[in-house]
Amino acid sequence: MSRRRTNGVGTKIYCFALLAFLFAPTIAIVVFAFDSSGRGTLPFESFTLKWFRQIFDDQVTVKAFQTSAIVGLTTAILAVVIGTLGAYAMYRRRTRTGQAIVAAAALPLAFPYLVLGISLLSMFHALGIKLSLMTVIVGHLLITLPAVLVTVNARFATFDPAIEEAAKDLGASPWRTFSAVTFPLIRPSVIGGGLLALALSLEEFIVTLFTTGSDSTVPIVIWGQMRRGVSPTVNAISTVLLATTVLLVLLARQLTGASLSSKRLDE
Amino acid sequence: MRVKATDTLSSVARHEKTEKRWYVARLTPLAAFLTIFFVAPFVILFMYSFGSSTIFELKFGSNFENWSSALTDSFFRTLLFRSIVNGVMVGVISVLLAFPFAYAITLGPLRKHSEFFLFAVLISLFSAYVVRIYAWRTLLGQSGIINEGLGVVGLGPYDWLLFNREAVVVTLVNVLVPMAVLPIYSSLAQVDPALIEAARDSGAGTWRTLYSVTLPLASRGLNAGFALCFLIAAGDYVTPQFVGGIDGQMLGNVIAEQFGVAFNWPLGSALAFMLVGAMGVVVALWLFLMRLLKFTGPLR
Repeated sequence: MSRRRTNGVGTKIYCFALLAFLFAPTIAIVVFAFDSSGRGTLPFESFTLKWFRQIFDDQVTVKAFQTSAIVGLTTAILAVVIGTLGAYAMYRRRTRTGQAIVAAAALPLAFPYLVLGISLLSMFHALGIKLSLMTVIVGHLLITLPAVLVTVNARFATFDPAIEEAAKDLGASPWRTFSAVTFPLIRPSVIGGGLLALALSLEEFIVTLFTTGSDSTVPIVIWGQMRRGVSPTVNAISTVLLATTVLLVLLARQLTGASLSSKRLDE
Repeated sequence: MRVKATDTLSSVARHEKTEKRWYVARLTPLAAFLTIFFVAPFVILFMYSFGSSTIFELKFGSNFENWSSALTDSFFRTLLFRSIVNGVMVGVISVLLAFPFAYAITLGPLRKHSEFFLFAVLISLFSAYVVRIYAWRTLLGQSGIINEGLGVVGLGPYDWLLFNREAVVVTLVNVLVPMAVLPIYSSLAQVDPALIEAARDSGAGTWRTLYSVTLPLASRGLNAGFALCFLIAAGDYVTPQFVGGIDGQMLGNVIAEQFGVAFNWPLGSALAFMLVGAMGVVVALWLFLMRLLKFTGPLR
């Protein structure tokens, strides 16, 4: 009995140690973003917000945040529309072709982002399409669609078909059934999937690098500053990006968690 | 009012028809998007591998030179080998680190707190990858925290912490462990604890239970976790660029270079397909090995 208990303690220590390993680098970044020395090393000199003030005075960085927001929101909306339609189709009717298409949407994850980036670049070049924010969004859609599909599919897995049957029996058209009955029930998961897509888009770097024209997203600005050596503002930019991600994932989890517990409602 | 049987039948048929049309309409955007922006680009990239390029232009063609230099040049072979070995190391280490963690939060002592741990892993997974590479470069640098810490106890500073293969592997493992935790977690979450109890009750020890019951049941997650970590690590080029130094460069760096300053897309394309092919072989070998070890999952 006592042996079992010590085993448990060992496991717990291991799990916390793994979390420490995962988070140590990012925590260091966040801490140094508030250090006035700006060297990114110990000792911590004194607390300051000047690096944050500096990035919001810097036009290039502000522009990058705007670009990231535009790309991220557009990607999230398009991914949600395409992904939800696909997941809904799969829910209504399971054909081989349909299943193959939805499975194919996960395939981009089986290739290095480098290869996805250069293949899109090749096609845009061959067709004479100029690189712009649109081409960046296309790349981001490729990467974010699987996340939306997984989230919305998970919701449909616990969706009671009798609800739609009832709407149909009461004379609702397919569109009305979807808009008035089905969509409100799956909405939390749809929004959750969209937030995950937004988070993925905001942090994406490799595909963006190959598909962007003259615009820079936030990760590209970070990369540019990294290449020029250690710049004290990188920590502050990274902290803003990390904080946004934490917020988005937190919200997404809250929403999809809510949809999982509303499972009981369907029964 | 009585409804005639024929009416109902034809309305059912009509209904079936509209339903089918809606189905096609719902799937079309996804299918079209994947065809245009996933399949077509691959075909075009593949076509470029038989093309040729000068400083000014890029041509399609039926030129096998790119392929022959990609496959025979010993420089490329060394880098390909390094990419694959690094990828396998990252994949195996990530799975080894992730399994006890996923086990602890599903069937182990931390199962009541799985929400918290899973959320932490998700946060880590979504934290920008460029930021984490940057973080490792500052941590491992000459005046980074690790060397400062060693300095306190009278050691270092060591400059060999950074700019080598090991730094690449450590950084990639750090970035990719969450990628292994999630699939292993979801396969273990479906395991009935009674099965493990049953194995224990019939006299199997901890290791025997692990080997003959838990690992086979978790095999889907182990496969997905390894494959994802391996594929991303072996195909990466940003980590080696920033923490790898000269000895840490991988094939991805050369491929990216061909699509950047070197402007030799045809060669870059041939190298990219060579890398993807080698990755496919490794994943197939992994699956074969898992079968050999009888780690094959429950039938579903």
